[in-house]
Amino acid sequence: MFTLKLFALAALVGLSMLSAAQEVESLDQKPFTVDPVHSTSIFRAHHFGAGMFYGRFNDVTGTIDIVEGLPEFAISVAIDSVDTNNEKLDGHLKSPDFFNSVEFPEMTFKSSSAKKIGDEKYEVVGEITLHGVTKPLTVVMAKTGQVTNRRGEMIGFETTFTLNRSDFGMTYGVESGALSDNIKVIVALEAGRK
Amino acid sequence: MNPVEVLQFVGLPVLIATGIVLLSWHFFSSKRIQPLGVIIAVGVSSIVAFALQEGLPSVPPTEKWHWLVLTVLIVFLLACLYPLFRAWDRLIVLQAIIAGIITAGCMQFPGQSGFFDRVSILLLVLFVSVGLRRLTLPPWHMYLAAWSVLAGLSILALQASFAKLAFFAGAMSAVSAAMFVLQLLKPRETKSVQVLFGVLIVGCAMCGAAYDPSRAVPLLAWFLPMVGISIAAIAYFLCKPKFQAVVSIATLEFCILFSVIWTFVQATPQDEMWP
Repeated sequence: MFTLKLFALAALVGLSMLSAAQEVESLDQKPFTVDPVHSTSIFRAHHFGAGMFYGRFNDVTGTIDIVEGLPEFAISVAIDSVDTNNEKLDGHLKSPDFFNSVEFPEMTFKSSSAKKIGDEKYEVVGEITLHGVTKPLTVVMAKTGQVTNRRGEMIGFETTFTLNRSDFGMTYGVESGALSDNIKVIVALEAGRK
Repeated sequence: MNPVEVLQFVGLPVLIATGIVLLSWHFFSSKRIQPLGVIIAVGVSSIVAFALQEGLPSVPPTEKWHWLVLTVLIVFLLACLYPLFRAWDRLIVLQAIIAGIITAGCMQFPGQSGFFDRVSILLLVLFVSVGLRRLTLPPWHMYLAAWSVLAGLSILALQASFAKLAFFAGAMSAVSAAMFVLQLLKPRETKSVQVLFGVLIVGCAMCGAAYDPSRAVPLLAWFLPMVGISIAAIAYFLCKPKFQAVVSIATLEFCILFSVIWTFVQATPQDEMWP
């Protein structure tokens, strides 16, 4: 009987130590690192009020941290990675007419708070910096999945939002209606940690 | 880019510059202050041409190339003073050096590496301004040269996908063309305006080169029209008086055409896609 009690006590102590260790581990866990290969940033503009014109940024980097069950984002997009499948148009988008990639090589988003608004949906508040101008931005981030496999732990998020590029000093073609002021942006992130 | 935009971005500055010169014919009749008409016309129209593209820049500007218009503004205000003081009239080189120091101090470019770049800008403004002044012996000659060089830079900027700079340089080229015509219609004293053209030409070329990291336009092509002015000025003095104007302008046009053709030849052909 005494041996059984001793064994139960030892098991209890062992379990609590394991649990404490796990808690420490979860507190110390590294943030997820965005995988640029499987992350995408797509934008859409209305061209001359006719067709919808799409482009993408190929280099999306950053981190996603989960703090108390809520995501925190620090995302960076390299402007030079803009890709419209037309070299000359890419050059124009990089020029001071639009993004001015020489002076402002990155577009960044850093979240400051998040709240759960539904099943795997979060309202994320943060600041976007584009073309040297920083503005507050609130987006709805949908968690697209979280798995653990041979690559480690992976997590995915996706959001769609719109921006007025003139708010960021990018006015070329707005007045003439050549390219819409309103730009739809889709950002899909995949991030992992080992 | 459509005809309405061209009319707005190019036509308005030309209209303003022409209006100022026509008014100056009436109000600045004294030979002493005659040069003020063109100086004010070029100065005001360059600020208007820039504002039509980017609005008036903040101080300090949010983008480095916006320093171009602030530099033009300072040199313009200074150029307005020169004709008022007899002693300054003949100090062409000193006027150019002052404009060069202002440009070298004010202008900002991405990738600017300090002292060497600033000295280069000073020397370029000096050579271009003095070169243009040397071409004024028939007075319309300078306007023709400025017209060609700025038109060439406008084409290069378009090739570098920098439409706002292309419109700005194009507008100033058209203003120079208007000054050329007005000078032919009613020849007037022409002084000190060369420093304004010098800053405009050097500023546009330097901005074009600095914001073209993919080298859609070869680096040397940006500089050749500026160098062409100095070569044209030298050619002017080497020729017999009968051929001076033709030879110097032909030399300059050759340099500009060479830059433009070289740019087109080395460009990757691709469909037009201006938004």
